[in-house]
Amino acid sequence: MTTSTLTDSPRPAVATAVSGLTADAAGSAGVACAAGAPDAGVLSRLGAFYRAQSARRERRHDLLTIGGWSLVATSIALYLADGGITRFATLGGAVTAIGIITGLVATALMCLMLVLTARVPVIDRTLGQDRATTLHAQLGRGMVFGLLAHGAFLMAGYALEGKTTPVATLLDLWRTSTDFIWACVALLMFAGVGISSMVALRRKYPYEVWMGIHLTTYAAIVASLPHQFSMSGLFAEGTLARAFWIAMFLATAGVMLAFRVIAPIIATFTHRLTVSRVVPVGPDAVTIEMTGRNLDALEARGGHWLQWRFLTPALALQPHPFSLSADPTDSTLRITVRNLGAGSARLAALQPGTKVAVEGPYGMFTDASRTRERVVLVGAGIGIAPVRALLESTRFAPGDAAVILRASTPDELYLLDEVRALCATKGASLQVLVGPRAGASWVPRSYAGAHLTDLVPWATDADLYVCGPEAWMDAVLRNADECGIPALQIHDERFAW
Amino acid sequence: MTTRRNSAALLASAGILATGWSIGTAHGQTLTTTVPATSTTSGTTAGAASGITSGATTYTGTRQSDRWGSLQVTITVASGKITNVTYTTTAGDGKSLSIEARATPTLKSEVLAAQSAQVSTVSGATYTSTKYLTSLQSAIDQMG
Repeated sequence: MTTSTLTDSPRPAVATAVSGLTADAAGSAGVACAAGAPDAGVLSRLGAFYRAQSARRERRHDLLTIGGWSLVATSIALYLADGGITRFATLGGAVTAIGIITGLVATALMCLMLVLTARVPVIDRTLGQDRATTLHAQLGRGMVFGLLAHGAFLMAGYALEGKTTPVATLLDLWRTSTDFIWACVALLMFAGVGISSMVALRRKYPYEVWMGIHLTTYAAIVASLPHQFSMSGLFAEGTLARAFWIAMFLATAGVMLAFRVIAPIIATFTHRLTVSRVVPVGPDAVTIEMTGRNLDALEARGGHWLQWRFLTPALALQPHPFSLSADPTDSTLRITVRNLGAGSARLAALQPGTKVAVEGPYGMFTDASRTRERVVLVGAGIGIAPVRALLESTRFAPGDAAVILRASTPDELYLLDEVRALCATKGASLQVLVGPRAGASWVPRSYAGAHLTDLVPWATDADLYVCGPEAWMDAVLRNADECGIPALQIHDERFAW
Repeated sequence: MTTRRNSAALLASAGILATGWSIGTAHGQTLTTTVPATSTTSGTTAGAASGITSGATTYTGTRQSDRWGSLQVTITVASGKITNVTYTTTAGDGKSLSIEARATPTLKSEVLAAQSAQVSTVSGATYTSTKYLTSLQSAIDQMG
């Protein structure tokens, strides 16, 4: 367990200079830039493959970004084209129009954020589920502020047009329209969900509380529907806007239903996963092996994570996101889990024969996000599990991969023997760093001051995969940035809980 | 990479907005996807009325919206004379619907008598009258 070694003597100055050059070359992406690099002649076929894969992913990202923003713009454009622009002739009209536009934007953002968490394969393969979730939260903030502005601007605009006060307008609408009352209720619910989500991100509520908060959004959407039909022109007959919004709402509901409900049910019934073995590995960690049918069809690869639902009375209601700890075969899947939450603790007591419902696979901590021929895999604690699976599944020429494992104590180097065996077979170097962290650095005290590029000199021209505890991962990513590793080559996966 | 992507998205959005803007200012009219019943010219293609030679022609005015919903007027014209006025509404609450139901017959008979949109509004139904007469005027404008 203490075979940790530094393969190269520290040489920060040289490393930084070289990394600066490589970073610039890599910044302009694609195969073209590689042709300008000094080692273009010996560029391996694998490198060309991964560069093309990365370019395709970037293109998908471009299209998704442009598409998303275009939908928001279209919602406004349809309103402007449909006579909305004429409203700007008067002050009251302009304020009203802004109120309408903020409402339209908020509605479009709501559709986009629901699609982002619907686990649509193309979004997962482009952004990765954790980035999509981050974006979901950002759009959510925009949506809540948009809705608040929608209410405030409309009250002010109506008041200006009717030569009265916003409060009088509000009371007037409240008295005369039940749809308006429901809209107010929906606004309060959305604001509540938004605020509690922002707080929850920091406080980490239990999963069930989080879920309860989010289910409120469905109630809020339903409460907001009546006024969208009666008071707004969203679904006014004979308008293009009607066709647009019907398509938006149906598409959003459709992908949510397809990928969050129907696909998991089909996967569960097709593959019929069953726990076959539960093996303790190190302190408070178990490897759970499962067998199933036709698992190739899942298209799961090492590094993927799935939502697991173990069908026992105590666990059935709680889906757990866990990464695979080995490359799957057509009949077996394997995860390695550490006891962190109360739910995870019960997993150790799982009996063979337990049925398992499954959603996924998800994530971009896989071969599919490679951009270079060389790869550096860094894992800490139970984060070693996905690193081990990725090491098994990803491709590289002998000598082109480096594995760095870290733990506070040797006991927490989960799956070390398996990683060592894989490194030997595939020709990857292995460095094991054990001991308490040196301050805010990601390396232990015995390595204090060492940079990623000291441990792996060619790290700047490699893909970097990082998995481990949140704070430690941040430290690794900070150091990667200091070493000049381009963001495009850095891959990390985070779970919300 | 990110900058390029975001600029492209920004440009695309600006283009879409500019298109909506210019359509809105050029026509000041409703974009219609469905054309109301028989021998009708939609709000955006007034000129097409000349193609219809026999009988009555209908003209649909712009859709006028306010906080209660939107309202759209269709007039039937025979031999240069307005012979009928109909409307569609998206108002959903009972009060708006009852106001519209009360005011529109008055408005209709006044319009048929005056043969123009220059008629007085119905008291207690100012919003409905405004929407109704504005939409009506845009339909009359299409008669050329």
